[in-house]
Amino acid sequence: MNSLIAVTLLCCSSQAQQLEAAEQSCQTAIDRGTNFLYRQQADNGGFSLNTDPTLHDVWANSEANRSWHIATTSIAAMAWMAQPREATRDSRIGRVIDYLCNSPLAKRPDDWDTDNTWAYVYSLCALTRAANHEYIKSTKRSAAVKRRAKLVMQELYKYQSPMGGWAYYADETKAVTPNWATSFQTAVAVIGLLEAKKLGWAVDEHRLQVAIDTLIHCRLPDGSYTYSVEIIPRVDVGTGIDNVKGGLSRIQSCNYALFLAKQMGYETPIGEKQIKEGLQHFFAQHHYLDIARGRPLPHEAFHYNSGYFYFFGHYYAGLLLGVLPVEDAKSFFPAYVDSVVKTQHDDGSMLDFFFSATGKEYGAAFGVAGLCHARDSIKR
Amino acid sequence: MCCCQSLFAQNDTDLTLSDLRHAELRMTALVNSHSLEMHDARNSLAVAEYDLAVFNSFGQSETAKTLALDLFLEQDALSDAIEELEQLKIMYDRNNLADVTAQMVLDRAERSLLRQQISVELAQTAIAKWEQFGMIHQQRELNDAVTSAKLNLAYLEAEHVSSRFELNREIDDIKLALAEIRAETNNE
Repeated sequence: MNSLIAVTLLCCSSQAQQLEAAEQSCQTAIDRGTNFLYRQQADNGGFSLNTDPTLHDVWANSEANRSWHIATTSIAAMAWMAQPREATRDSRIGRVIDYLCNSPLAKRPDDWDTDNTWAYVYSLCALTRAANHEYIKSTKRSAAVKRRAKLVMQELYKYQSPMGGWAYYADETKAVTPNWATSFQTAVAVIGLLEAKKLGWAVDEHRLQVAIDTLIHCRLPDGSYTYSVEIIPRVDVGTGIDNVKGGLSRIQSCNYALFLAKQMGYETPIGEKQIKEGLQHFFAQHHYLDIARGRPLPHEAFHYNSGYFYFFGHYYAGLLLGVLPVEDAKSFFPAYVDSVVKTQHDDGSMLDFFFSATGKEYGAAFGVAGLCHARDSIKR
Repeated sequence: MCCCQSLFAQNDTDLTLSDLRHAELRMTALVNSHSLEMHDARNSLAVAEYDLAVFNSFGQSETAKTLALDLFLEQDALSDAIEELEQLKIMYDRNNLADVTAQMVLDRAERSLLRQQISVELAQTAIAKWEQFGMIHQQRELNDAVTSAKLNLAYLEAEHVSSRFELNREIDDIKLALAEIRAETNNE
């Protein structure tokens, strides 16, 4: 009996030590990543990215690069706003929000390329967070933030496919409104629109409801989501992408969007149980993301995983930890921290896919933001 | 016999012997080449007979099955296209985000359906064509190939007999000429 108690105590003590070590590691990575992001902020408040990305990146279109630039800047702003307030950070947040409010709206880069939607969805998410940020409110930026968010939403609506969601290419039709839509970009748009609605801003309710229904339509019986919005969704057998192993990151973003929707009174199938299952899949099959991370070609790894799925998925997994009970969040926390911290470079940056202009920056921004939410999830 | 006559006789003998050796070499080459040609011809006949036997035992039914499968696949694709178009219309109606793109995609889907209907018709025609003409044509072609191979073999056999007969006659003539030259030389 005594030995059983001793073993139990030892296990508890070991778990506590593991959690403490993960917390320390998490904080160090947040600080290093934040400092890296600080160094990238330019005088205009935006990010100082590669001065000539067209020479190095796959997409030699400056507007596509500017769209990613705005998206990256938005994610970095969210990473800073997810941290406790301090004077230096507040000042940087103020400047980055000024940049997001005042820079020209991203235009469509090409007839086939609608990457400008990434700028819309992430700037909307950043602006909704900014509207809740005490420093932004205290510096009388709220009106500008709301005005800009309204503009962004108007642009976003123009790109909502008749299929119900959003995507970043229009090869299928090359029409003014694209027909192709993906689950994961739709999830990011839904999150932004829900946050806007929560703030009391005017949101096109019909479009939001359609987008939520579209995400539900994409959900497959195995708990994953189809990559594209399919007319008749089905689980891919073999090495396809439309299953758990090919959809680890999509599961997190879509689950978060649908959970948020449920919290706000919409009918969705995502509760704590589904979130927990999604996170269990994420860590049980994490090697698929590890194998893909750093690979130079999109979708070249098993189940068509791409390097750039990595931090996208981790960011939403970090947010999801915050909606689970603390004990559940704690059970995932060490593995989560390890999976992000192990990717950090000496300069504090993180990289999952080589984009000359934005790769290290969006990696670090997603990584830091995810770590902040994960850390907060065990401190409630 | 003077010295000059003796030299002429020797020369004739040598020339005739050379002709004889040449004719014998030609005979060896002829026999070898006949052997090769006959081998090829027999092989061609065996292949043609084999193809005919395969066609009679499996080919007809396999081709019919393949064509039936093609038709089935085309019909399946048509059914899928019809179902997807119906679902797409339901999705568009439910989403009610109707705009130019939705109509464009629906028009394209309708056109794609028409193309698929034509593909089904072509697959049906392919079966009818096979049953009416293709099978008979292929049977005839295979029969022709066997007959042609047999005729070729018979022709080569006859040609070989004839060529060898002619060459043997030539060799016999040379041998006779050689014997006469030697007899004359001995008499002188």
